[in-house]
Amino acid sequence: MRVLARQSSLQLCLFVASALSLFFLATAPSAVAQSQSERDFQPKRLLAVQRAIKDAPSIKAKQVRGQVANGELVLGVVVKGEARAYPINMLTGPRREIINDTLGGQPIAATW
Amino acid sequence: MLWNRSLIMIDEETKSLWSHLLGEALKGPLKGSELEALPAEMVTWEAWKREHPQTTVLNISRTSRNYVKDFYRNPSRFVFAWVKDAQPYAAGFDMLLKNPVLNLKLEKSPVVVTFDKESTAAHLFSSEVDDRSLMFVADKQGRMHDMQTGTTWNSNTGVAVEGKLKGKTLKQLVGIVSYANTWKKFHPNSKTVGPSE
Repeated sequence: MRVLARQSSLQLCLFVASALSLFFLATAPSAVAQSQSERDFQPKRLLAVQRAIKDAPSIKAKQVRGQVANGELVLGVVVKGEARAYPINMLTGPRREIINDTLGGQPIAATW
Repeated sequence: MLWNRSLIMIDEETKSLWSHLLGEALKGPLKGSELEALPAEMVTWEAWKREHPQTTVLNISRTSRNYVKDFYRNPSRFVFAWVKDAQPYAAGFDMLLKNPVLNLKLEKSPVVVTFDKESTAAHLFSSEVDDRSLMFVADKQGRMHDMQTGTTWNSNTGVAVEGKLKGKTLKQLVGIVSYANTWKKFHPNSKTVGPSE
């Protein structure tokens, strides 16, 4: 779970990289110092890019009628005094994962 | 579908590839750029709306029903983790269950990690208020007190609710809930913290 600030109008959409075996691929040592992540990031096959989710609707807490239950986990964030909850049960699955949104005037991406 | 069991994202504008865990572009025109992470928490809906009565909530169809409090039935699989002064740290959920208020000195600046068993929310706050460092202890009501002034604090929001420092708010820092294994893969040099630190 993460909430990231988006720069200007950068829209993040779900990207699926087939990488189950990637982590185990040997990579040639590089003379240039690189972070672990850069060295290892060698996706072999890229899957279809999904449509970015923008403008997903939100409602007030008191308008909730069963969409989210008390014991469910949410990703909660406050930006400039504005609070919003993203139920994890709405974020999972290959067609979701990233919600592009605006909160307190700040473009954000809630990711799972 | 994932890289190192963690989400990779693409942006429509430049087609750069981003790691959501690192918040960093790994490939493409924006490689090396970072997105700022915001303090966020994984918490029950009940507790979130109690602390934030004015909250709004995303309203789209469900894709799952699995993510309820019970999700943490095996706490040793999860860490609450953060990066501070370029050093990654991880606090195991099983340790946090026993230490709901954890004072840490770390390298440069002191922090306090709080964990609320009832709502499963973990938080990271700076322990410094007006240039003075505070040490916190938990009480039985799920709140905490600082040893320097005896002020009572809400350990979920970092707001002083009673005592000398009433009205002050601890600065919340970015921490995330991650699978312990995933965090370790992305941050092999991560330090595991506990009450002895």
